[in-house]
Amino acid sequence: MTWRRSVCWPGIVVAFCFVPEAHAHLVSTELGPFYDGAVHPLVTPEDLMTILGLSVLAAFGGARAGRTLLLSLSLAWCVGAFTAYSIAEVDCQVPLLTAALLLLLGVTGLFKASPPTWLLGAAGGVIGLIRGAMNGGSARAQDGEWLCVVGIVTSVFVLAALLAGLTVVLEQRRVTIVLRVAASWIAASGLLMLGWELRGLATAT
Amino acid sequence: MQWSRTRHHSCLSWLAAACALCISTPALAHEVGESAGGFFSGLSHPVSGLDHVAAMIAVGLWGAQLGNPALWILPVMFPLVMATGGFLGLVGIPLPAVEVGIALSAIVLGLMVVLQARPPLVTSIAIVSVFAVFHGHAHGTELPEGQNGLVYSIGFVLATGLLHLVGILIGTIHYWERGKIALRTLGGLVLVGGLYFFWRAIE
Repeated sequence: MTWRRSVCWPGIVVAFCFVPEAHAHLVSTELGPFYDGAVHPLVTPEDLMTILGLSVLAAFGGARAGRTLLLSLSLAWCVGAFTAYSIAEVDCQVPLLTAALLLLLGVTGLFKASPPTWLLGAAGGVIGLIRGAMNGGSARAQDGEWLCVVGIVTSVFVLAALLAGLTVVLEQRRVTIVLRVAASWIAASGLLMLGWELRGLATAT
Repeated sequence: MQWSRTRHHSCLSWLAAACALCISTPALAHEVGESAGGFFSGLSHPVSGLDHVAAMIAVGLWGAQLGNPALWILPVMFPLVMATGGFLGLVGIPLPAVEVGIALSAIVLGLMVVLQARPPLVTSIAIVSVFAVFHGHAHGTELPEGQNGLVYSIGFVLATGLLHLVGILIGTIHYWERGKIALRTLGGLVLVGGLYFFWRAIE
């Protein structure tokens, strides 16, 4: 338990140190602000992959871990999104942090290193808070209506429920291979993205 | 009853996901267009070179021949180690004789399938991993700039995984007696291709 924590947290802290700016635009569905928001997590691979990576980890902890993740991630995303929408314009992305996080989630899932439920809940809370704040902040920066934020939060809840449910069922049916392949692909994507961003930084400097 | 209820729920889930995706079709904002372009660009990159395709399919063929647990360990390890090679290429760490390494991968993997070699699991993982670094490095140095890194990477990894899956699916013919011969013949084709790529690399 201690070694897992000692491996995970320094990685997250180091990743937090790199926060370059980029823009995250909301797409227009022409169906109204709620649907503009609802579509946002579906077409944002950073959000999708993060939720999938957490769901794979939850699957190894069973249905209880899945429920905990669903609750903590959705609530934290909601709090982060509405807080940021209310107080600040944060039109930025954190590609290095996202890449490092995907790598961490993927490698953890690949080796089936299931974290304890409380740790998974806490991680879901922190990640949900950050990504929610980024979503809410960018919605405000682009003059999106509050219904747009409701759409984002609703979509995240549905996505988390579907993915956590699917992965938990797969694990219960002993289809662990699918989960480990998914984790491997998430880790590989994160690693490539990390290299991509580092190359971009090196080119810029 | 339990099974049918779960299947019913599963069908509903997929239907909901499909509906959600359909709703997103009017979203023609340029950011989404760029992401889609990056995804397809990443998806097409691993299949753009016959040497890569031959080696990646050969990994699947060999995995199918070896059976569990190599069947899933090799394709799980390959994308991750290949991404490590890609990372090295992206950050500018050089690797000598990359093209020779790629050609050798087709030769060695083809030979393994032809010989129906069954080395210890650790050895087979090591063989696949060493060559995966060469493939990843070559891709890493060739990745185009100016696209969404994550979307491109997802497409790239997905294509690699699908090539392995193709290899595994073809490799299932191994369960039939005549299929074994056909599979070894395919391994021979990869081997011959590898020799050609090797000749081109050192030319």
